[in-house]
Amino acid sequence: MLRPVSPAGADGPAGEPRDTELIERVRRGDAAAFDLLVARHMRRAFSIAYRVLGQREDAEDVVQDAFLAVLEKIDTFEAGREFAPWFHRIVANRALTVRKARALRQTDPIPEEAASAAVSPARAAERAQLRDRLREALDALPERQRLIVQLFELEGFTGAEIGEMLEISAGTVRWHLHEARRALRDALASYERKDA
Amino acid sequence: MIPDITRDPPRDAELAARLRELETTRPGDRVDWTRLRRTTLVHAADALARLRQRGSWWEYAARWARPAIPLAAAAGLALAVLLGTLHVPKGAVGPLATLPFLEEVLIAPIPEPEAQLLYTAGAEPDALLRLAIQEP
Repeated sequence: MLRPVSPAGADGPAGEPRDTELIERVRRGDAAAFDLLVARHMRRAFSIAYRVLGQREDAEDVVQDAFLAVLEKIDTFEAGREFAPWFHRIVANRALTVRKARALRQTDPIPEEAASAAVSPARAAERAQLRDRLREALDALPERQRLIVQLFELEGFTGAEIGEMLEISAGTVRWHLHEARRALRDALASYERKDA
Repeated sequence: MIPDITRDPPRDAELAARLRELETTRPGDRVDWTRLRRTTLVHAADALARLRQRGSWWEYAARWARPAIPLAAAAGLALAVLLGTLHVPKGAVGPLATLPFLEEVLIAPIPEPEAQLLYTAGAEPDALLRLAIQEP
Protein backbone atom coordinates (compact mmCIF):
# COMPACT_ATOMS: atom_id res chain seq x y z
CA MET A 1 0.00 0.00 0.00
CA LEU A 2 1.38 3.41 -0.91
CA ARG A 3 2.21 5.62 2.00
CA PRO A 4 0.34 8.94 1.77
CA VAL A 5 2.63 11.91 1.34
CA SER A 6 1.62 15.53 1.40
CA PRO A 7 2.89 17.42 -1.64
CA ALA A 8 4.90 19.97 0.28
CA GLY A 9 7.88 22.04 -0.75
CA ALA A 10 11.22 20.91 -2.00
CA ASP A 11 12.23 19.19 1.20
CA GLY A 12 8.93 17.88 2.40
CA PRO A 13 7.09 18.62 5.59
CA ALA A 14 8.63 18.30 9.03
CA GLY A 15 9.10 14.70 10.07
CA GLU A 16 9.74 13.43 6.56
CA PRO A 17 13.24 12.80 5.23
CA ARG A 18 14.81 15.66 3.29
CA ASP A 19 15.42 15.34 -0.44
CA THR A 20 19.18 14.99 0.11
CA GLU A 21 18.64 11.97 2.34
CA LEU A 22 16.16 10.43 -0.09
CA ILE A 23 18.61 10.86 -2.97
CA GLU A 24 21.36 9.06 -1.06
CA ARG A 25 18.99 6.20 -0.35
CA VAL A 26 17.85 6.10 -3.99
CA ARG A 27 21.52 5.81 -5.06
CA ARG A 28 21.49 2.51 -3.19
CA GLY A 29 18.27 1.39 -4.90
CA ASP A 30 15.90 2.13 -2.03
CA ALA A 31 12.42 1.83 -3.59
CA ALA A 32 10.63 3.38 -0.61
CA ALA A 33 12.83 6.49 -0.84
CA PHE A 34 12.19 6.71 -4.58
CA ASP A 35 8.44 6.43 -3.99
CA LEU A 36 8.58 9.30 -1.50
CA LEU A 37 10.50 11.41 -4.00
CA VAL A 38 7.90 10.70 -6.69
CA ALA A 39 5.00 11.57 -4.42
CA ARG A 40 6.67 14.79 -3.30
CA HIS A 41 7.59 16.13 -6.75
CA MET A 42 5.16 14.68 -9.25
CA ARG A 43 2.56 17.48 -9.09
CA ARG A 44 5.02 20.26 -9.79
CA ALA A 45 6.60 18.14 -12.50
CA PHE A 46 3.20 17.61 -14.09
CA SER A 47 2.47 21.34 -14.06
CA ILE A 48 5.67 22.03 -15.99
CA ALA A 49 5.10 19.25 -18.50
CA TYR A 50 1.47 20.25 -19.00
CA ARG A 51 2.35 23.87 -19.67
CA VAL A 52 4.81 22.77 -22.34
CA LEU A 53 2.66 20.11 -23.98
CA GLY A 54 -0.89 21.23 -23.30
CA GLN A 55 -2.08 17.63 -23.04
CA ARG A 56 -2.66 15.74 -19.81
CA GLU A 57 -1.70 12.24 -20.98
CA ASP A 58 1.48 13.39 -22.66
CA ALA A 59 2.38 15.36 -19.56
CA GLU A 60 1.89 12.28 -17.38
CA ASP A 61 4.16 10.25 -19.67
CA VAL A 62 6.84 12.92 -19.47
CA VAL A 63 6.64 12.98 -15.68
CA GLN A 64 7.11 9.23 -15.53
CA ASP A 65 10.03 9.35 -18.00
CA ALA A 66 11.64 12.15 -16.03
CA PHE A 67 11.62 10.11 -12.83
CA LEU A 68 13.21 7.20 -14.69
CA ALA A 69 15.81 9.62 -16.04
CA VAL A 70 16.59 10.57 -12.44
CA LEU A 71 17.61 6.96 -11.80
CA GLU A 72 19.79 6.91 -14.92
CA LYS A 73 21.48 10.17 -14.00
CA ILE A 74 21.63 9.66 -10.25
CA ASP A 75 25.43 9.42 -10.28
CA THR A 76 25.73 12.84 -11.92
CA PHE A 77 23.65 14.52 -9.22
CA GLU A 78 25.97 16.36 -6.84
CA ALA A 79 25.44 15.52 -3.21
CA GLY A 80 24.07 18.42 -1.22
CA ARG A 81 22.60 20.15 -4.25
CA GLU A 82 18.88 21.01 -4.35
CA PHE A 83 16.93 18.27 -6.10
CA ALA A 84 13.91 20.24 -7.36
CA PRO A 85 15.66 22.64 -9.79
CA TRP A 86 17.71 19.81 -11.26
CA PHE A 87 14.64 17.63 -11.66
CA HIS A 88 12.50 20.42 -13.09
CA ARG A 89 15.14 20.98 -15.75
CA ILE A 90 14.95 17.31 -16.69
CA VAL A 91 11.15 17.55 -16.92
CA ALA A 92 11.24 20.72 -19.03
CA ASN A 93 13.86 19.30 -21.40
CA ARG A 94 11.94 16.07 -21.83
CA ALA A 95 8.69 17.91 -22.45
CA LEU A 96 10.29 20.25 -24.97
CA THR A 97 11.83 17.28 -26.77
CA VAL A 98 8.47 15.54 -26.97
CA ARG A 99 6.87 18.72 -28.19
CA LYS A 100 9.41 19.15 -30.96
CA ALA A 101 9.09 15.53 -31.98
CA ARG A 102 5.34 15.62 -32.17
CA ALA A 103 4.98 19.25 -33.34
CA LEU A 104 2.08 19.62 -30.97
CA ARG A 105 0.09 22.79 -31.12
CA GLN A 106 -3.35 21.60 -30.06
CA THR A 107 -4.35 21.48 -26.46
CA ASP A 108 -6.95 19.57 -24.54
CA PRO A 109 -10.41 20.59 -25.64
CA ILE A 110 -11.95 22.97 -23.16
CA PRO A 111 -15.01 21.30 -21.71
CA GLU A 112 -18.15 23.24 -22.41
CA GLU A 113 -19.45 25.05 -19.41
CA ALA A 114 -22.82 23.99 -18.17
CA ALA A 115 -25.30 26.82 -18.61
CA SER A 116 -25.67 28.70 -15.39
CA ALA A 117 -29.06 30.03 -14.46
CA ALA A 118 -27.35 32.92 -12.64
CA VAL A 119 -25.64 34.23 -15.82
CA SER A 120 -27.66 35.82 -18.55
CA PRO A 121 -27.10 34.54 -22.08
CA ALA A 122 -25.70 37.92 -23.11
CA ARG A 123 -23.20 37.92 -20.29
CA ALA A 124 -22.24 34.31 -21.02
CA ALA A 125 -21.62 35.24 -24.65
CA GLU A 126 -19.43 38.18 -23.58
CA ARG A 127 -17.36 35.99 -21.33
CA ALA A 128 -16.99 33.43 -24.09
CA GLN A 129 -15.76 36.12 -26.47
CA LEU A 130 -13.29 37.42 -23.91
CA ARG A 131 -11.96 33.94 -23.39
CA ASP A 132 -11.59 33.48 -27.13
CA ARG A 133 -9.73 36.78 -27.40
CA LEU A 134 -7.39 35.85 -24.58
CA ARG A 135 -6.91 32.35 -26.03
CA GLU A 136 -5.93 33.84 -29.39
CA ALA A 137 -3.51 36.24 -27.74
CA LEU A 138 -1.99 33.41 -25.70
CA ASP A 139 -1.58 31.20 -28.76
CA ALA A 140 -0.02 34.06 -30.67
CA LEU A 141 2.75 34.46 -28.12
CA PRO A 142 6.15 32.99 -28.93
CA GLU A 143 6.35 29.53 -27.37
CA ARG A 144 8.85 30.55 -24.71
CA GLN A 145 6.81 33.57 -23.59
CA ARG A 146 3.64 31.50 -23.43
CA LEU A 147 5.37 28.89 -21.29
CA ILE A 148 6.97 31.45 -19.01
CA VAL A 149 3.80 33.45 -18.35
CA GLN A 150 1.89 30.26 -17.52
CA LEU A 151 4.60 28.87 -15.28
CA PHE A 152 4.84 32.20 -13.46
CA GLU A 153 1.20 33.25 -13.20
CA LEU A 154 -0.57 29.89 -13.05
CA GLU A 155 1.96 27.55 -11.46
CA GLY A 156 3.67 29.96 -9.11
CA PHE A 157 7.28 29.36 -10.13
CA THR A 158 9.71 32.21 -9.57
CA GLY A 159 11.77 33.80 -12.31
CA ALA A 160 14.90 32.11 -11.00
CA GLU A 161 13.23 28.69 -10.94
CA ILE A 162 11.95 29.11 -14.48
CA GLY A 163 15.37 30.27 -15.63
CA GLU A 164 17.03 27.22 -14.14
CA MET A 165 14.43 24.96 -15.72
CA LEU A 166 14.83 26.44 -19.19
CA GLU A 167 18.57 27.09 -18.80
CA ILE A 168 18.28 30.82 -19.33
CA SER A 169 18.99 33.70 -16.97
CA ALA A 170 16.36 34.94 -14.55
CA GLY A 171 16.65 38.36 -16.20
CA THR A 172 15.76 36.87 -19.56
CA VAL A 173 12.77 35.14 -17.97
CA ARG A 174 11.55 38.42 -16.52
CA TRP A 175 11.92 40.19 -19.84
CA HIS A 176 9.88 37.50 -21.60
CA LEU A 177 7.31 37.67 -18.81
CA HIS A 178 7.04 41.42 -19.25
CA GLU A 179 6.51 41.05 -22.99
CA ALA A 180 3.94 38.27 -22.58
CA ARG A 181 1.94 40.18 -19.99
CA ARG A 182 1.94 43.27 -22.15
CA ALA A 183 0.56 41.33 -25.14
CA LEU A 184 -2.14 39.63 -23.06
CA ARG A 185 -3.19 42.80 -21.26
CA ASP A 186 -3.35 44.63 -24.57
CA ALA A 187 -5.69 41.94 -25.91
CA LEU A 188 -7.94 42.18 -22.84
CA ALA A 189 -7.85 45.99 -22.82
CA SER A 190 -8.75 46.27 -26.50
CA TYR A 191 -11.70 43.93 -25.96
CA GLU A 192 -12.91 45.88 -22.95
CA ARG A 193 -12.55 49.19 -24.82
CA LYS A 194 -14.56 47.75 -27.67
CA ASP A 195 -17.10 46.41 -25.22
CA ALA A 196 -17.41 49.81 -23.55
CA MET B 1 9.15 51.29 -20.73
CA ILE B 2 12.19 49.20 -19.83
CA PRO B 3 11.16 46.53 -17.35
CA ASP B 4 13.07 45.94 -14.14
CA ILE B 5 14.55 42.50 -14.71
CA THR B 6 16.59 42.43 -11.54
CA ARG B 7 13.67 41.05 -9.55
CA ASP B 8 10.39 39.23 -10.12
CA PRO B 9 7.39 41.51 -10.73
CA PRO B 10 4.36 41.18 -8.45
CA ARG B 11 1.98 38.45 -9.49
CA ASP B 12 -0.84 39.65 -11.72
CA ALA B 13 -3.86 38.15 -9.99
CA GLU B 14 -6.33 39.47 -12.55
CA LEU B 15 -4.39 38.08 -15.50
CA ALA B 16 -3.97 34.79 -13.67
CA ALA B 17 -7.73 34.61 -13.07
CA ARG B 18 -8.43 35.30 -16.75
CA LEU B 19 -5.94 32.64 -17.79
CA ARG B 20 -7.50 30.15 -15.38
CA GLU B 21 -10.92 30.81 -16.90
CA LEU B 22 -9.53 29.42 -20.15
CA GLU B 23 -9.01 26.08 -18.46
CA THR B 24 -12.35 25.68 -16.69
CA THR B 25 -10.81 22.93 -14.57
CA ARG B 26 -7.24 22.74 -13.30
CA PRO B 27 -5.28 20.25 -15.43
CA GLY B 28 -4.00 18.53 -12.32
CA ASP B 29 -7.56 17.89 -11.14
CA ARG B 30 -7.96 15.32 -13.88
CA VAL B 31 -4.85 13.34 -13.00
CA ASP B 32 -5.05 10.08 -11.07
CA TRP B 33 -2.05 10.76 -8.84
CA THR B 34 -2.17 7.39 -7.11
CA ARG B 35 -2.05 5.57 -10.43
CA LEU B 36 0.77 7.80 -11.73
CA ARG B 37 2.79 7.20 -8.59
CA ARG B 38 2.22 3.45 -8.74
CA THR B 39 3.05 3.05 -12.44
CA THR B 40 6.19 5.15 -12.06
CA LEU B 41 7.37 2.88 -9.26
CA VAL B 42 6.61 -0.23 -11.34
CA HIS B 43 8.55 1.11 -14.33
CA ALA B 44 11.46 2.02 -12.07
CA ALA B 45 11.75 -1.45 -10.53
CA ASP B 46 14.52 -2.71 -12.85
CA ALA B 47 16.62 0.43 -12.52
CA LEU B 48 16.30 0.34 -8.73
CA ALA B 49 17.28 -3.34 -8.69
CA ARG B 50 20.43 -2.51 -10.70
CA LEU B 51 21.33 0.21 -8.23
CA ARG B 52 20.89 -2.21 -5.33
CA GLN B 53 23.05 -4.82 -7.06
CA ARG B 54 25.74 -2.26 -7.80
CA GLY B 55 25.66 -1.17 -4.21
CA SER B 56 26.06 -4.74 -2.95
CA TRP B 57 29.14 -5.36 -5.18
CA TRP B 58 30.77 -2.23 -3.90
CA GLU B 59 29.99 -3.07 -0.30
CA TYR B 60 31.44 -6.58 -0.80
CA ALA B 61 34.72 -5.15 -2.15
CA ALA B 62 34.85 -2.58 0.64
CA ARG B 63 34.41 -5.30 3.28
CA TRP B 64 37.41 -7.25 1.95
CA ALA B 65 39.48 -4.10 1.43
CA ARG B 66 39.50 -3.41 5.15
CA PRO B 67 41.68 -6.35 6.18
CA ALA B 68 43.37 -6.78 2.77
CA ILE B 69 45.04 -3.38 2.52
CA PRO B 70 46.97 -3.61 5.82
CA LEU B 71 47.95 -7.19 5.02
CA ALA B 72 49.27 -6.16 1.63
CA ALA B 73 51.24 -3.32 3.20
CA ALA B 74 52.76 -5.65 5.79
CA ALA B 75 53.69 -8.18 3.11
CA GLY B 76 55.36 -5.46 1.06
CA LEU B 77 57.33 -4.24 4.03
CA ALA B 78 58.48 -7.76 4.87
CA LEU B 79 59.61 -8.31 1.30
CA ALA B 80 61.57 -5.08 1.34
CA VAL B 81 63.32 -6.05 4.56
CA LEU B 82 64.09 -9.50 3.17
CA LEU B 83 65.61 -8.13 0.01
CA GLY B 84 67.67 -5.66 1.99
CA THR B 85 69.28 -8.38 4.06
CA LEU B 86 70.22 -10.60 1.14
CA HIS B 87 74.03 -11.19 1.30
CA VAL B 88 76.05 -10.84 -1.86
CA PRO B 89 78.91 -13.32 -1.71
CA LYS B 90 82.50 -11.96 -2.00
CA GLY B 91 83.96 -12.30 -5.42
CA ALA B 92 80.64 -12.41 -7.18
CA VAL B 93 80.71 -10.77 -10.53
CA GLY B 94 79.41 -7.26 -10.20
CA PRO B 95 77.45 -5.19 -12.59
CA LEU B 96 80.62 -3.89 -14.21
CA ALA B 97 81.36 -7.27 -15.72
CA THR B 98 79.39 -6.68 -18.88
CA LEU B 99 80.90 -7.77 -22.17
CA PRO B 100 81.56 -4.35 -23.76
CA PHE B 101 83.18 -3.11 -20.57
CA LEU B 102 85.34 -6.19 -20.39
CA GLU B 103 86.56 -5.60 -23.89
CA GLU B 104 87.51 -2.05 -23.05
CA VAL B 105 89.30 -3.20 -19.93
CA LEU B 106 91.12 -6.00 -21.66
CA ILE B 107 92.55 -3.72 -24.31
CA ALA B 108 93.21 -0.88 -21.88
CA PRO B 109 96.57 -0.50 -20.16
CA ILE B 110 95.22 -1.33 -16.68
CA PRO B 111 97.48 -2.81 -14.06
CA GLU B 112 96.46 -6.33 -13.21
CA PRO B 113 95.47 -5.75 -9.57
CA GLU B 114 93.17 -2.94 -10.62
CA ALA B 115 91.72 -5.07 -13.39
CA GLN B 116 90.93 -7.83 -10.94
CA LEU B 117 89.15 -5.37 -8.70
CA LEU B 118 87.15 -4.10 -11.63
CA TYR B 119 86.06 -7.61 -12.64
CA THR B 120 84.94 -8.40 -9.15
CA ALA B 121 83.27 -5.03 -8.57
CA GLY B 122 85.53 -4.57 -5.59
CA ALA B 123 87.28 -1.48 -6.93
CA GLU B 124 87.16 1.74 -4.99
CA PRO B 125 85.29 4.56 -6.75
CA ASP B 126 88.46 6.71 -6.73
CA ALA B 127 90.42 3.97 -8.43
CA LEU B 128 87.82 3.73 -11.14
CA LEU B 129 87.92 7.48 -11.65
CA ARG B 130 91.71 7.49 -11.88
CA LEU B 131 91.51 4.70 -14.40
CA ALA B 132 89.01 6.61 -16.45
CA ILE B 133 91.20 9.71 -16.65
CA GLN B 134 94.37 7.64 -16.90
CA GLU B 135 96.02 9.00 -13.77
CA PRO B 136 98.88 7.02 -12.32
